[in-house]
Amino acid sequence: MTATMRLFTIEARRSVALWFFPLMALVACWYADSRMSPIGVSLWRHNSAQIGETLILLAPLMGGVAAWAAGRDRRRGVSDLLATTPLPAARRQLSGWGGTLVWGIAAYLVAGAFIVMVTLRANAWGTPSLAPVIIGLLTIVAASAIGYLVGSLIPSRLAPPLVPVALFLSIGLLNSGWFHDDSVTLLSPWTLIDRQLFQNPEAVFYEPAPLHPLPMSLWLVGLTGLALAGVVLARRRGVAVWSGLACSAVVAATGAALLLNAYDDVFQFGVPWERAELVPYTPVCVERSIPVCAHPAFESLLDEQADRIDLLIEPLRWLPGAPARAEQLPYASGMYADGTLTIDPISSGVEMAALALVQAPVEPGPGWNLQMHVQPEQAVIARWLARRVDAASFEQWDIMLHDPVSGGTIRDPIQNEIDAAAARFSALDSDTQRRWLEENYVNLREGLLSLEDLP
Amino acid sequence: MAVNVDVQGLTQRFGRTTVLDGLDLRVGTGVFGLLGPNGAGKTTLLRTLATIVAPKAGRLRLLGHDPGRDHERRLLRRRLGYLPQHLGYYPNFTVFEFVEYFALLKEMPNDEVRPAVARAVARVGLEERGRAKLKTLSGGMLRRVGIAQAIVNEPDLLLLDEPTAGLDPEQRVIFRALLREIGVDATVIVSTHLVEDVAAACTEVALLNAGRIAFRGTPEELTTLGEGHAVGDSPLERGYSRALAGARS
Repeated sequence: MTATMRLFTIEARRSVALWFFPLMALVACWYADSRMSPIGVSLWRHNSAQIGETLILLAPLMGGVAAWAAGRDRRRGVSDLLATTPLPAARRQLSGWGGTLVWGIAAYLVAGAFIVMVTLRANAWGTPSLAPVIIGLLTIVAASAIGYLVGSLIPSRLAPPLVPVALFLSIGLLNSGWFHDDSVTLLSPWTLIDRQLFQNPEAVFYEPAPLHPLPMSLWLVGLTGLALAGVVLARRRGVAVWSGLACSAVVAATGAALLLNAYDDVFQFGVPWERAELVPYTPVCVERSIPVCAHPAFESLLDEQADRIDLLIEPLRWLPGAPARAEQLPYASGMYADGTLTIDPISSGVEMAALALVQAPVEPGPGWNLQMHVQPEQAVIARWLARRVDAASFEQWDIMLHDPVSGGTIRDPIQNEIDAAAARFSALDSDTQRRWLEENYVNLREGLLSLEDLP
Repeated sequence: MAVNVDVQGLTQRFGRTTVLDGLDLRVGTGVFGLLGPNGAGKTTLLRTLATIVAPKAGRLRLLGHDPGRDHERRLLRRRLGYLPQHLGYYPNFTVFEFVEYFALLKEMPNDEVRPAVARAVARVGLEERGRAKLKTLSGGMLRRVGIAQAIVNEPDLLLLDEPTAGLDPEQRVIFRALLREIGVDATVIVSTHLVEDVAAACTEVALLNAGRIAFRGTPEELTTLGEGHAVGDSPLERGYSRALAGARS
């Protein structure tokens, strides 16, 4: 083992970061776990991005810990003794920084291993994506280098607590609404990784916005180089240090320039939806009274949802215009003229399917809001159909109006009539229900009935 | 005898205060005691010799090197041992780790580090506490750890600022023996207030006053100087007081 490695080993073994390691690992795992499956299924690409997203906690924390570690020699009054040793201060300080950083990386790897384990157990769809993981790692490295620089330059004990706050604000605020999608927000690695996450089920059909891993890596590596050159520069000035500083500045500036130019690429990606690039896939299907198909990402939910869809359409099965097939399609809702009922494989998708069943066929495509176009009498039958599958259904779809008195929202009074009519319809025997549907289903879907036409 | 410390016209100033005032000093192998009242410039002289601060004026050659040149300073520091007056330390390091850390910083050959650390720790009598963390040690033990890091590279120039402060009488005796042993081959400069240390360990002594050398000679010569002088509890103390009074008059 070389002398530098042995120094590094001692530094790592006795680093203050070792004390923070369990906390950092725990916090990172908790953060990742709380955001892992927002659309009900586990996706490799989402979870890979989630590993990178832990940077928002780990990077500021590591910055603070590194700032504290950098001030150690001065706090402990060892500076005089160190000044008499021949090993260049830069190598000693880099060992100290490395011994601190290693625990931040370890916490990141623990969080990563945790996410990978959970993802493997969930039999997730897709393939892992390495780019956000690397960006997360580089951010932690850069944050710790910046923290180390601040701790080296500012002797105050206030520096270590202020560094995490400053880093969190820098990374976090750039990804917030404060900057209104300004291209400067792309300098925050969080902004780009955030756009890799799957916030809604439709996202599985499309390529996410480009991550721009190379410019972001250049930017982060450049920042790291600048910070470390600053650390060395405080002790020693020479051609090598100035060259390192200049190279780092060029690398950082190149990365930043490329990122700032990527505004359209990132923020206008897939807007409007027709421009978005569909990822080819082969749907997975199960047979019930009709075939029920979904994107393979949702395969784990398909059996259960197919049973629910089967139960939903059961009273309409022999009626003209009844669905011949149910399928999850990108940005689509409604029932097509060819008898394809679009579905959402997550559990609340039953309500939308029920609304689609009572409305006229729609043209394939996005933007049809089933809730906006439903007539009261259609809502009654949709509510009855959905409640046959799930008693709690439709509570969330109540029609709400603005209340000028309280400033909040109130239920539309017509909702009470709809509830009462649905209760009356439910109370009918099944033969009466079937007969009414046989006689009125087509007119109901065309919007030719009113509440008075219901039994 | 090789001259390991060659100082000519050394001047150090902090602000408007002149701490060392054109000091000349040539020292060879042996244990060299540095006496003087508070503020005389002893610590500043040691810090200058330890290459912590560059001289404001004057010429300095240590172990044949010019510490003003980067490359030579680095070579010199490899052969240097230094114990500051106030030893800073890392509380979470063990004794072995702390001494090894400084052995590595002194760029000792890799394969020599571990044996040298064990030897240095044993020489200060701390081998039993080698794995103890520094925060668990008493003040005297910490002083011994400081001495261990200073001697770990078997320096040719050893600079010790108040090394016996905090040591118990038994340890002080052992330490003086250690100084004599090291002084056979190396130059040891010991700054101290304790004239007993000088009497027991030093081959030569200098009295520093107001940044200048007021007396230089052997401890015996200093003792002789004090004969008939009333101030002081021991012959050497009387010599010290006499030399100091002479310098101030």
